[in-house]
Amino acid sequence: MLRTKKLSYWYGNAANKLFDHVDLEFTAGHLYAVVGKSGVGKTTFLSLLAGLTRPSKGVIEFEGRGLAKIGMLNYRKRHVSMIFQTENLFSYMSALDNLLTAMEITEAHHAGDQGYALQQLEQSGIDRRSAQCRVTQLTLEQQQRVAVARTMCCDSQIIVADEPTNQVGQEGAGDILELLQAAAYEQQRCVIVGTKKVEVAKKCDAVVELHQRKFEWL
Amino acid sequence: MSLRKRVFLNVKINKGRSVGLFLVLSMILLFILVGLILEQTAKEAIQRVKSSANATVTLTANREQAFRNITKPKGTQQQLTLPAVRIAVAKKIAAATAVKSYNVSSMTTVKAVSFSAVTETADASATHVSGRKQNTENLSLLGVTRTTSLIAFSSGGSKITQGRALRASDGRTRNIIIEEQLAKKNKLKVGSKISIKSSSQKNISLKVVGIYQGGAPASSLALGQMNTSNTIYAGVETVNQLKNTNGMADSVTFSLKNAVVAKKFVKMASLQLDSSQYVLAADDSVYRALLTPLNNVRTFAKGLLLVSVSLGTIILTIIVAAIMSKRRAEIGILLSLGEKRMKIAAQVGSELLLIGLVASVMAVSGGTTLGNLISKQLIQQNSANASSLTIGTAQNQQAENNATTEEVSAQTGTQQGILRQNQQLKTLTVHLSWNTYGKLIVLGSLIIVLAVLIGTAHILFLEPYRFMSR
Repeated sequence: MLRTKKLSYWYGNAANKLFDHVDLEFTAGHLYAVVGKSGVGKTTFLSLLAGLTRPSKGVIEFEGRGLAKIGMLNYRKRHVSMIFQTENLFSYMSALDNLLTAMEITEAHHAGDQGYALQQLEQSGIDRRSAQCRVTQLTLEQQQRVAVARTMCCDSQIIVADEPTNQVGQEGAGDILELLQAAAYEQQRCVIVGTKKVEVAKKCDAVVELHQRKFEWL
Repeated sequence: MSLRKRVFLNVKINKGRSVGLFLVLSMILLFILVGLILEQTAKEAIQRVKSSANATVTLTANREQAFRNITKPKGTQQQLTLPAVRIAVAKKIAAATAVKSYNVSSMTTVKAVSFSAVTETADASATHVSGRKQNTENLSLLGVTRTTSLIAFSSGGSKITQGRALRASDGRTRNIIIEEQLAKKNKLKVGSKISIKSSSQKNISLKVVGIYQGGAPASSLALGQMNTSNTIYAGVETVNQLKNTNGMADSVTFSLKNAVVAKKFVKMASLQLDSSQYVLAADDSVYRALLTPLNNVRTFAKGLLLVSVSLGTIILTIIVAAIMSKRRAEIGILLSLGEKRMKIAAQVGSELLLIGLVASVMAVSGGTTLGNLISKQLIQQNSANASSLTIGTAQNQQAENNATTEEVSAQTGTQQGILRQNQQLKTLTVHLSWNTYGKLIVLGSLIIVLAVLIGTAHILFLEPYRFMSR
């Protein structure tokens, strides 16, 4: 589904490469973990997969077509959803409005369907009352749950999550991982999670480590 | 959630930011509106002056040419003869659309028979300087088409206090109007009859139909041969009969509908005249004297508008740029969801337009009053300067005693005309028209669009990743 071909990335000077000649493949129905130490380039790699930035060299292909060909905007809109560590949501909206907005922008199949959005929120552990609250009134864990529910609402086949459990307690982290597993196994999506936590990586189907500018399957 | 709802929600939730933007936009729009009202007021004032300021063109004999003619034959002396103006020619010129009305003047000197002229001596110094002795027996009989179109009356210098003014229909009658002092001295009333003797020793009886009050005091007109109280207005034909100059006039004054066309009219009318015999002189001094200060106000208004729009754009751009930096996360999420950059700019622009629309109500309520207040002050100040400048010039000329009676009268008329126009301009109040409100909305929108385009550029052209990597 998603493949990187001789992917390289550097900031400014080509001598300062974050990673070089990366050839990886991610398929639908699997949960992947990308691990590595802090500052090694995990977030940058995940941003490349999410179409938030362009590679310095090499290509990323989605279903055999390069992202440049698909169009970065189109790719982000229709094929990929991203969960960030923090500040995932529109702070001036309620949880429900966040989902409805995302569905409308991405032109999701259920766009405008409030009942569907509420159902997704409930499945992510957000009750109806909390769904109507401004997201700033929710806990960080609840906010991450809303972010996960948002990705579920959109029709994207790929979910890229960067440290989704970082701000969340152990129980909450387990719930969020379960939701991501459900997205991978039940909805046959390709879920790629960036994490430093070993317990998170252990629950994934495959783990790839970024170490000294090289990726290695563990 | 649609873009429209996002806009409303963002404005509603971020109250502090919205109130701040409301105040800034209100101030910007207020200044723009003041500029617009100022410009509109100046424009309307110019229009008012154009249509109401007295502009006249006088057709008289070409004196210069007449003087040149008498010196032509060497060694021989010739008498100065001024050609009279044919009334028929004047009527032809008066048929032009630019002419509001015309007045034919013919003057002669007569002697009082059944009454006596005002003998009050004029200001001693003036008499001394003029070096001429006043002939108190003489009266001036001035034949006119109608008194209302004379500058002395239309500018408010002279006014009818009893009876009525002379009309065109009084031409062939023996109806006259006399000055208040002359009436008082001889106990004359409306309906009284007086007798005069013409230069051809012919006695004629005239009937008083009106009494007028002279605008200028006799002392200020001491340079002339006559006391102004001894000026009697009569019909042109009556005077021509006494002078044996039927169908002719000393001068013809055309009052124009619009002061702007004075020069054009002179050019057009000159084609119908023999320039060696006649001369046309335009007097649009009131219009000219007021046009400069009004144009100054208009230029100031344009400057204020330009400064308001430019400064407004700069200030708003800085604010938008600062707001965008604070909204990095929100923009990042929108971009990661695949929202178009232009749509994000449109959201920011729509938020500002919404606040701007509310701010325009505030600007309109305050700006209309403020604009009128400032424009009145500016117009009055500038017009007063023009008026005092004109009066100052006139006084200087009188002091130097270089001015002729006609020039002094003309200057007095100009002063009175300016003062009368100033009085009229004082009442000028500009109501906010839809056109001005439309201009305000267009300029306000332009500022917002420019501020959004410039203020968001540095953020919107970044890759979405940059918003997340902090």
